[in-house]
This record gives sequence, C-alpha cells and structure tokens, in this order.
Amino acid sequence: MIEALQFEFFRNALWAGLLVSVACGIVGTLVVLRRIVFLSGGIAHAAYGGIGLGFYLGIDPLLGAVGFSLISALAMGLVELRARQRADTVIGVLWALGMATGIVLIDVTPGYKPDLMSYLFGSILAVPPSYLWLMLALNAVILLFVVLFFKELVASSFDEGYALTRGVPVQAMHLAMVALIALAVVMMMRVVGLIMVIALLTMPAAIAVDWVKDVKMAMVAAGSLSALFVIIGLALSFHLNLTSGATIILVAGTGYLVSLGALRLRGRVRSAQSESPAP
Amino acid sequence: MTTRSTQGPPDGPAAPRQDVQPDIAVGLDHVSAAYDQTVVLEDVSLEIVPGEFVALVGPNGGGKTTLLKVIVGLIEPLHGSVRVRGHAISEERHNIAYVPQDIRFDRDFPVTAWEVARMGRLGRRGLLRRYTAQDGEIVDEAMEKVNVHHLRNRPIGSLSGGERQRVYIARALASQPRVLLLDEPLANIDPEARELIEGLMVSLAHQMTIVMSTHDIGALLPRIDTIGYLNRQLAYYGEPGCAPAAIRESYRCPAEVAAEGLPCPDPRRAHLHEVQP
Repeated sequence: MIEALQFEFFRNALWAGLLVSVACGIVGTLVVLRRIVFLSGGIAHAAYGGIGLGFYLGIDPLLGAVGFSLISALAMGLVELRARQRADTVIGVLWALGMATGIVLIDVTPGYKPDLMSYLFGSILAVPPSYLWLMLALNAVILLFVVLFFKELVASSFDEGYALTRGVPVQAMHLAMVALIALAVVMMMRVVGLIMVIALLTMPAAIAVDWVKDVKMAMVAAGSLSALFVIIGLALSFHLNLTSGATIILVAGTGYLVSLGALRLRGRVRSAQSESPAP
Repeated sequence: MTTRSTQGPPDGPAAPRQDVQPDIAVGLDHVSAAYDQTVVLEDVSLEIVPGEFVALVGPNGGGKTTLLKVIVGLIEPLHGSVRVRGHAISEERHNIAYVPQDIRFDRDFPVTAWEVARMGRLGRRGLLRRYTAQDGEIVDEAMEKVNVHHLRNRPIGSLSGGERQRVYIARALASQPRVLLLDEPLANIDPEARELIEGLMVSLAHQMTIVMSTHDIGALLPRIDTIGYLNRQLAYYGEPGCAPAAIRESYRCPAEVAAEGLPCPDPRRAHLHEVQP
C-alpha cells in the first residue's frame, strides 16, 4: 500500500476516507442512538433521485444530490414527526420513489453517463480534489451543529418526552438531524456508493456504542473504526483488484461480526464469574 | 376516626408545609384530552394549592398519565385550560418537573446516571449554553438527596428499576421545581426500593407541590392531602378520608372497569378499605 501512496489518486482516496470517517463517527453514532437507521437508509437511496436530476438538468449531479437528499430527508423527518405509526411505510415509499425518479430521469437524459455507477457503488479512487473540499466543508457544518447542540441532541435521543418538558425544541432537533444525515450521505456516496452508505454509517457506530459508554467517546471510536475500515478496505481492494466500496463494507461487516462475537463472549465470561462461588 | 394499616408512614404524622403560598400551584379548568379520536379525559377541573400532596388513582386507561402529561405540557388539551402558578405552562416550564413512568429506552445508551440526572438542568441552561460547574453541584445534591450518588458513574442501562426511578427523580429535582409530577413512581420496583421512594416522597412533600399517579397508595396515605379518583372524569377529588365511599359509588360502573386499578385491591395493602369515613 505504501507504494500506492505515490499516486495522487490514492492519496486523495485516503483523504476522502479520513474525511468521511469524521461524518460517520458523529452522524452514525446519533443515527444508532436515535434508532433511525431505516430513515437513514431511505435518505441514502432517495438521493439517487438527485443524481438523476443533476444529469437531466445538466448540472453537477453532486449538487442535485445535495438538494434532493436534503428535501427528501426533511420530508421523511416530517412524516416521522407527524405520523409516527405510518412512518416506516411512508419512508419505504419515498425510498423507492427517489430511486425510481433517478432511474427514469437518467433514462430520458440523452448521452453517455460515465459517472453513473460511481454514485451507486462508489469510486473512492476517482475522487477529485474539489470533492475533498466539499467534504471538508460538510464536515465543518456537521461538527459545528453537533458542538452547539450536543446536550439537546443527547437528551432528546435518550428521552424525547422529558427533553420536551425542559423546553428542548425536539422537533427542530429531529429535522436538523435528518438534514445532517443527508449531508453525510452526500459525502459518503463517492466512497462506498449510495447503496452501501447505510452500512458504513451505522456499523462503526453500532460497534462503538456497544463498547464505549460515553457519547462523545463513542463518536471518536466510531470515527476511528470507520477510518480503520476504509484504510484496510482500500489496501485490500488495491492489492486484490476488487471494487473499493464493496471491499470497505465487507471489512466493516467483518468488524461488526467480530464485535458481536466478542460481546457474547464477554457476556458468558461475566455470567460465569458471577455464578462461580466466592473463594 | 380513621384506622391506618400497620405499614405506617416512615416518620410520623404529616408536618406542616413550609412554602404554602396563597396562589394556585396547578389549576385545570374544564380540561378534556384525547388520543386521535378517543377521549381519555373529560371535563376535568381542579385546583392544587402550593405545598399540596395529591394522589391520582383510578383504573388503567382512566387518564392518570394523560392528566400529568397535560399539566406538564406534553399533551395539548382538546378543551379547557391549564395554568401552572397562574401562567401558561410554556412560561412555567422551569418550575415544574415530571418523572415519567419507567421509560422504554436503549439499555446500551452510553450515558451515566449522573449525565441523565444532569438533563434536569436543560431548561435552566437553555440553548447554546453549556452546563456549568454549578449545574454539576446541583445535580450532585439532587442525587445525594435521593440516595443514588454512589451510582453516579454507572451506565443508566445497568441500574435496577428502583435505582433508575430514583435517578429520574434526581433528574426532576435537579431542575429545582416547585411542582413535581410523578407517574406511577411505585410501580415495578422491589419492596426495598419502594420503601426508599416512599420515604423520599414524604420528605419532598414538605418542600414542594406533588402530584403523583399511582395504583397503590400504600404507606403514603397518611401524607396525602388530596385524592383524585380518575376514570376519564374526575369522579372524586377531596380528602382521602372520604375517598372510599366515593370510590365505592363509582363501582356502579361496570365491575371490570372499576376492579382494576383501585387503590387497594390487595388485602395486604388495604389501607383505604380500613378507612371508615
């Protein structure tokens, strides 16, 4: 992998991986804690509508994805607030509608679309420097918001009803949260692809939350794990000539399964210790 | 003349309240509330004076939790108005605290008991302001008061039901309320924890207005100023001594409605049955 670092595209890929890990650590942890993984999946897939819109209008598909995923995220967020018992159905519908819109818009756009697959399956090795700047800016927005409203985000994630009685603007927090997810999705789609965004967003955070008993530390741990998975995945894909996004996801998935196994083992050891008679 | 069960109050007869003020702590004026199309509270009016200790009893689904949520502003009433210390709840949020019935939550949620109690300071601190050292001291004090300070660094998910309930009470106390609402604080906890919480409520009753919903008043009966029997409507609201007769009156509703959730269906805790009006 060291020899690969002499190539600019590989250095860019590494930077992209590290930058995306910041968003993954922060947003992913909140997604896991607030149990809105399905909503995040909906936002990620609906973002494809934005890609299609970008191609159709002849603008940067990335811009289309930012706008479209922000709007669809807010729509899904509102549905969760207003019709909670129907939310999963409506999110499922918006999820499919977003993707279908993207596919049809691309159908009716004439010409060859060279980048299309890179949005779906990721192309971290083809990340342009301009995208790195965009990622940096989006990370700054995410970080700023979470620093400013950390106590409200944690309190409303833990016990929404109580936070409401303390005057926390719980609904605004929820909508801001889905907007952050939309931003994170846009950052991640070039790394692992829209289809697999949800896996990289949630797996490092799910591992972190299982082992670390502090929200801030869980965010740091999730970000670090995400960076680790991206680097290992990149190295493996480089040496074995595999699709980088999918390899990263397989590495993360392996990490998640190992963590689950270790948790079970820890549980058994602890229960054995508590059952064994005192000397 | 009343007879009490042998399981009496933790520390003798009720002491006079300290912070009695002439105004009304909580006032409900013809309040109705509904979930979707189902009316769960109908035309409830009551006035609670500062320092009063009110117990709400009644069957499951009778509207006890809804009434507390209406008072604390979690549910908008369909009709009628709610005043806390003479103002709308939005202006009095910081003076009223709510201890929900054991909430469903993620046991792996990475917060400690102390961090949960500190959430009580949210309303006092406001948006964009960090918690201060003073907040920390107030939280420590609240945790000491409910005897959970030794659990401060434990993850909230690792606590027992009774310990968690006391952490929620500490969270409510950390907001330094004048009115404390508790939803079934004595449910689903072991007898030892129950005794602790009963003792705690007795001492808190000297310091603030308390409204508690419960299935089982138990040892707290001597301390309670007012009992409200709620079965969609407020069938009885007055001194505990007169409650049994009034509640018996309301037995005239179908037995399966009244049989559940009466204050004392269990003969071991038959305090109310022993009361002769």
